[in-house]
Amino acid sequence: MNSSPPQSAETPFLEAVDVRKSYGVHAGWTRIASITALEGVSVQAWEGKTLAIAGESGCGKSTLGRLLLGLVAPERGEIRFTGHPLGALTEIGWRNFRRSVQMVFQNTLTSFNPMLTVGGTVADAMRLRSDLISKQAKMGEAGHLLNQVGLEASLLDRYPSEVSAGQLQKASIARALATKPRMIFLDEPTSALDASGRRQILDLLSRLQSELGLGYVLVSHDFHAIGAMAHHLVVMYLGQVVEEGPAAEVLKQPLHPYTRALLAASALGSSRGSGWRIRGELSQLPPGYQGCRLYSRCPHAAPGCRELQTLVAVRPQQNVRCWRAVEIASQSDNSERKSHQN
Amino acid sequence: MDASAILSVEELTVEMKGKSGISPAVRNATLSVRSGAWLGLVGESGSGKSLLALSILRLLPRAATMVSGKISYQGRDLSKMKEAELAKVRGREISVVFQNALTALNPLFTAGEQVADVYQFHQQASAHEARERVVALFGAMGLSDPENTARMYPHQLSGGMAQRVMLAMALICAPRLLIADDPTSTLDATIQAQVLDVLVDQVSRRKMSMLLISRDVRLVSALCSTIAVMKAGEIVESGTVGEVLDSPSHPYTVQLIVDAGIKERRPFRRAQEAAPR
Repeated sequence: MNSSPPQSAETPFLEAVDVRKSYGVHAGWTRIASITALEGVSVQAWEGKTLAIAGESGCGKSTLGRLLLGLVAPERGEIRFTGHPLGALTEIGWRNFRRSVQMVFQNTLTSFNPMLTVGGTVADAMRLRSDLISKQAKMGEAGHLLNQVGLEASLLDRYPSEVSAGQLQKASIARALATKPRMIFLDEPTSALDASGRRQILDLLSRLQSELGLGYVLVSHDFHAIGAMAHHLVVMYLGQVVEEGPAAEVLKQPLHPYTRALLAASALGSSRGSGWRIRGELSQLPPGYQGCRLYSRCPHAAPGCRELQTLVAVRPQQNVRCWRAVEIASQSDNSERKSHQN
Repeated sequence: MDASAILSVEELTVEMKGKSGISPAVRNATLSVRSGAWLGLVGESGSGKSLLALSILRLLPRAATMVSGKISYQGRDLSKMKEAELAKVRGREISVVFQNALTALNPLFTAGEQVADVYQFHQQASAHEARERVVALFGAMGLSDPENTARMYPHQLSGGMAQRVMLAMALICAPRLLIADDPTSTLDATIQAQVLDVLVDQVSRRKMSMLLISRDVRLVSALCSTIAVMKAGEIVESGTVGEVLDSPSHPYTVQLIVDAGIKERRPFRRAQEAAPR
């Protein structure tokens, strides 16, 4: 089956181009304020590769996910699927998009229909396929998919409440595979699992990627998962991309103060877990403010940080939205070294 | 029994009443927290670690009963104590911090009132004195506007603020032992680091002992001196962090270490001061 339209090597499979999205805060019928969830965000996802989007609650990663999946439309900018803007897709184009881009959610117990068996749910997703019509053929394929994700076909007849969280997360990957997608959107796929389940899911996802050439968009705050899977990493803070680049580079040498704080906080008790912190908590910005969004929380804030900040290439392919990134990074690397010696 | 122990739990068994009858949730668990030391209790969800902690201060849910065992705190058996006596221990000598601070706080009272209440109960202080204490402690907890935070209701607090308030409530009577049940697992990573900074700072400054319950083996290894591993209601292994993590003897412990991806151990490092501008 060759359902994907022709594309050149330079066209990303799925792409957000300078998207903006805001939400209204309402009191009754009146819109009293608006909160910008995304501001000028551009990301690209490729087949066979993993794009990781990292950040904490309120950074806009879920909103970006909803835009990429075509569930909501951006106010400005556009989402492109194999180079075609989603807004201009025909009905057949939309079907192809839905078939080619699938999703796996964080909480499997709420994303499975409790009234359907696991097999029923996986088979139901095959409505988008034209090659499987009879119920028998669909169930046969569902059993095959369960085997592919390392589950026994006997799970087909069980209900979601009768299987473990780890098994259900594998089944939800099987459900995503049911439409023969080229890309899967993974929303915190491991955060509801304990350590052993997490490792199994990561191993499974990596194996499927190399076997099927799948692309992934991985939304996560688990740097263990990101380190194991991601090729490209985008770090977001308050609706903006603050740093992006090849995952290995960004993880090895993070430059933006926020990326550094996030990495240090995620690796307490290892050599990466430094004493680098940001202060206070997430707060909304005054309207019209153009400067660095981390300003009030950054330990290195200076008056110049209130000026407009743009994403600048600091190293090849590594872009950072902080005018003092290099200076701060070298300063604190020096002080780290000193404190190690003491 | 270890003479230097501030708290020791011996042969504790807790049973849970469920739909399918009575089942043991904690079986013959024995552990002790040495005076001034930090013990980490690790295990996956459902291993019984929270029930063990709750039974220390007799806070078990209705469906659970402590069937046998002895809980000694500084030579006194807490499990045989009268309720009125135990009330004086709770909060004053042993405090608990739970996982989800927002649900542990009473939504009808301000943060300041709830913390002041604990102080007034134990210290017979005036309302004014209690209030001043609370505001000072909120400041020490790193809450940026302590006066204002004291006037806020729980729904106005963020997760990180609520956990600092809970911590203040636990520390206001200067207890000797803190039981912290996964205190930071619901917080975002950078906020978790901030709250841990405060926790480590306050508990070590007061030379308190701590029983830290967590699913995060790495975190426990960075913070605690001794560790106990719990699985299916039983403590399968315990010892110093070095002994247990460097040469684990139980296969489950080996699995936990592999799954957590621990290759090297480093002590927890508190926030560093910003470099001069």
